[in-house]
Amino acid sequence: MAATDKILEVRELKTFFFTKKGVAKAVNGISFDLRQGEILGIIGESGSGKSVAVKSLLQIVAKPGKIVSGEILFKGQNLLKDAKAMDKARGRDITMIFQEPMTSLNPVLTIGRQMTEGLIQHFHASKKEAAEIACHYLSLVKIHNPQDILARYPHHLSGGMRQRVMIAMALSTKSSILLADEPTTALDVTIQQQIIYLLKELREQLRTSIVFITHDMGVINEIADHTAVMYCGRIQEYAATYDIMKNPRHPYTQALLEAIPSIDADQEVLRTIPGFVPSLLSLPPGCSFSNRCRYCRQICTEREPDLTEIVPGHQVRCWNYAAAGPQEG
Amino acid sequence: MAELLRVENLAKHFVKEVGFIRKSARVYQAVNNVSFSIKPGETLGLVGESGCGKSTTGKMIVSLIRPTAGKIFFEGRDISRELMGKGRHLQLRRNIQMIFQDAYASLDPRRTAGEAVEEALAIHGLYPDKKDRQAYIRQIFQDVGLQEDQINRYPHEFSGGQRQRIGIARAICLQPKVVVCDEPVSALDVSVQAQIINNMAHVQRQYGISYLFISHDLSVVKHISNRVIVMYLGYIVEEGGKEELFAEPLHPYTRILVDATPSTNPDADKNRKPVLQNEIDTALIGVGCPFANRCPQAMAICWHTPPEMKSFAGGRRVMCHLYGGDT
Amino acid sequence: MRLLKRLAVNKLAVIGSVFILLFVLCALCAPWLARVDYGFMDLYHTLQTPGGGHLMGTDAMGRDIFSGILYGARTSVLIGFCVLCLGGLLGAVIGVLCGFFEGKLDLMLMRVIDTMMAFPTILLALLVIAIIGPGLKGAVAAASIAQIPRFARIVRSSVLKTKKMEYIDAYYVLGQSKANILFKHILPNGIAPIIVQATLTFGESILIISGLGFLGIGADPMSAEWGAMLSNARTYLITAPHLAIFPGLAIALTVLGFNLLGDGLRDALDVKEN
Repeated sequence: MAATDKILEVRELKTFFFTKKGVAKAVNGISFDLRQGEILGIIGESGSGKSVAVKSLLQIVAKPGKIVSGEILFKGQNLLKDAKAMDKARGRDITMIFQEPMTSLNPVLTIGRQMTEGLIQHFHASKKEAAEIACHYLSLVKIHNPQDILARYPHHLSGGMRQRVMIAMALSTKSSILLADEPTTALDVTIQQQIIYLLKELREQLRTSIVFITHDMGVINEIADHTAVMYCGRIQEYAATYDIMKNPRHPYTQALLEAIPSIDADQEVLRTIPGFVPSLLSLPPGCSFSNRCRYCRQICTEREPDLTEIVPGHQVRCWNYAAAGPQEG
Repeated sequence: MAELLRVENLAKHFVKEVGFIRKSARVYQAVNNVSFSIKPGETLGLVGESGCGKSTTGKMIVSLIRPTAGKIFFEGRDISRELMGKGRHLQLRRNIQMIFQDAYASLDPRRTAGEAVEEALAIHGLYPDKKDRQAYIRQIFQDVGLQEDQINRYPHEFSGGQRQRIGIARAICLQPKVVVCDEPVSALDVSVQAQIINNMAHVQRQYGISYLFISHDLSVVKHISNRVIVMYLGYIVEEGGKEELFAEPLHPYTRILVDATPSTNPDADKNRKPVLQNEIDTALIGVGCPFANRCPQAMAICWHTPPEMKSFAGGRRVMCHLYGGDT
Repeated sequence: MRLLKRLAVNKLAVIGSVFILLFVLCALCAPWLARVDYGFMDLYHTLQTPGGGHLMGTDAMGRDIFSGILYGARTSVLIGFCVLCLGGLLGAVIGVLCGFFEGKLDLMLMRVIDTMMAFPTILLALLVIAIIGPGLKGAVAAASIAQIPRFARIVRSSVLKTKKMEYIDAYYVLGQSKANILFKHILPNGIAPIIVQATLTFGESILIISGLGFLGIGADPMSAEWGAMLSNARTYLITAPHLAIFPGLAIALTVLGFNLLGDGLRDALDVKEN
């Protein structure tokens, strides 16, 4: 599947949290493109800013968080400047699914009621029409008895089923972008496999673009076309997933991959990353990974490197590579 | 080598009364006919998805849950009756300990890290002399990778990984022979997971502890265990040394589990289709093979006859009609 | 303590604390602040409006209302403590038994508690008074009994909630005795809602006793007790409203103060748990 037009362009997005103890730069200037039908994976541990980044795309960041600057271009319009366009897009063109389907589904409303609510509101469909659309999407997510399910309540369904319902709901508005915030983290591994496969199938069928957030490198490898590795609010490495797994360049990416026990390989001792993730309120000067990096040099503690493209399609934010390729801003 | 801990035909049924006027009892069979043993110094991995009964099994071994049936042997001695009794069975508690999944929840927020360990020692009357005790606590903290100045800190002052280290310290300070680890690293970040796993292995070598390592994460279990048991709907479906089990899984469920575990290998086949169908069907328990409705290789017999455990050489076992049963 | 800091942020709680402080000050310093003894009846200066030698005026029998308020504060403090000790402690013990042991004991005791709660407080109080007889003793007994179910419920739910925490499991696995687990881990961690209830109880008991006093079946109408003073003021509501205003205000502000503090404590302790 060839990459076609860009459907989403994010430029230097910054979302800060203004707390009593100081300003936490949760998202500190990230930029990426999303093409139609592409699955972009964002990987990071806790505190990396991945969740906040995705919530910023929908502008649903809770206080004291605030989007400070940047551009989010969707179909040519800057959603940060055009509130009307954002309202129109949110829940319709750009939809989201979350980690815990139980808390994102209203426990006192039937599935049918919840699925049709959005359709009736956004498209002024009649109840009957909305129910038909809902059934159609439920069968797309491989639910075999959609009519039954419409009448059920969330607690009647298993975790995997609920997540499928969430996906159906998110796609039923014919959305072009699906944001998925750790959608499989709470699921059993066999169910996770099914959901990942389903999302890839839906991408083929509907040409929906997906931004998939997770902390699991294995999942990213299985689902994402391209991967952005986030650490302390910045993208540290960006490339095709194959390249990231085969040839990780950034020391953090390398360390992450070495720290994971693998189902295929055998490691005696897992390589660990010394130190801790720094608090977002007091990042080290220079590169935010400098205090834990085994390749740290003098310059790393003084200036923060820019994201530079070292090979076409592979960007790294690291002084160890800066010399090797055209500099970018 | 003699067995340290052995469980035989362990079972746990939870009874829930439903209905308002006409009460009927709904039985939830969490653990069915589970038998295994652990040798000194080894790590037995217990793996399975949610609802398979692995946590319940672990809790029965530390007597948090009373078994409905079955026996537990420790160092050759039948301790089942003792565990059923109301006593504190301090001797057993000294030898069989537990590490919990949520480190924060398993620590009393009003006790410092040092006090947590101290209380464990006080319960068993160890190190009555204050100086000796404090020296011992310092040593334990060092072994689990905590600093001396952290002894007087409260749980909320630590990070997730550090809290788990406190949990480990508290469990091993009694120098138990068996530690049941209930998903000890599942709630931690990847880089922290690695630190804790390495530390647990180090502590095991240092103190000669056997682990019953319960987890849903196959990769972690594969890394740390010597032998692995796979559970499904309360049954053991397969057991084997970790190399053989993962290289050549015998049970269809094990194969599916291994296949479903995401790999970071860039050349892995990412288009393989999931073969698992349907949902868990508890009605099959006792009637046929519990996995029959989801098994890609189910045969007619699987639906009406429960399979028997078949043993192979080298401690390999599998409960599946594909392999017949022991006579 | 961090708790005090968090409390200080809540303005209403601070106001409430100020009221309570005033109240306690009155109670403590009554003998020094009062110009005259409440019992002294100055029959030449009855029903005097505030002013002159009497800060708050005098009542129909020439007694100084201000000293009545001050000594009444003492009575109220005593009442509050008695009710807390009798009703609160008994209720707490029942709550701990129910929450810790559960099972049949829990079922039986809670049914008794439920029955007690089914009665409106005043009705319950009247019942107790009918048995024991009118007077401050009866009123305190009535108020205490009224508080038992409330405490029992709160303590029981607190114990049940704390019991489920994983660290209780952990200490059980370590071999800790059940008694030690209760006293060292369950109670200290479950104390928050109990403290909140205690503050509210203090205010409530004053209200109940004053209410009973107003009805005439509480404290001796001649004694320094706000409710009794209010009762005596009934006849003079139009002609000498100050007789009712001051004791009424005293009751209102004190009970309000305890309520505000209790609410503030609840919020402050909630945040801590998060």
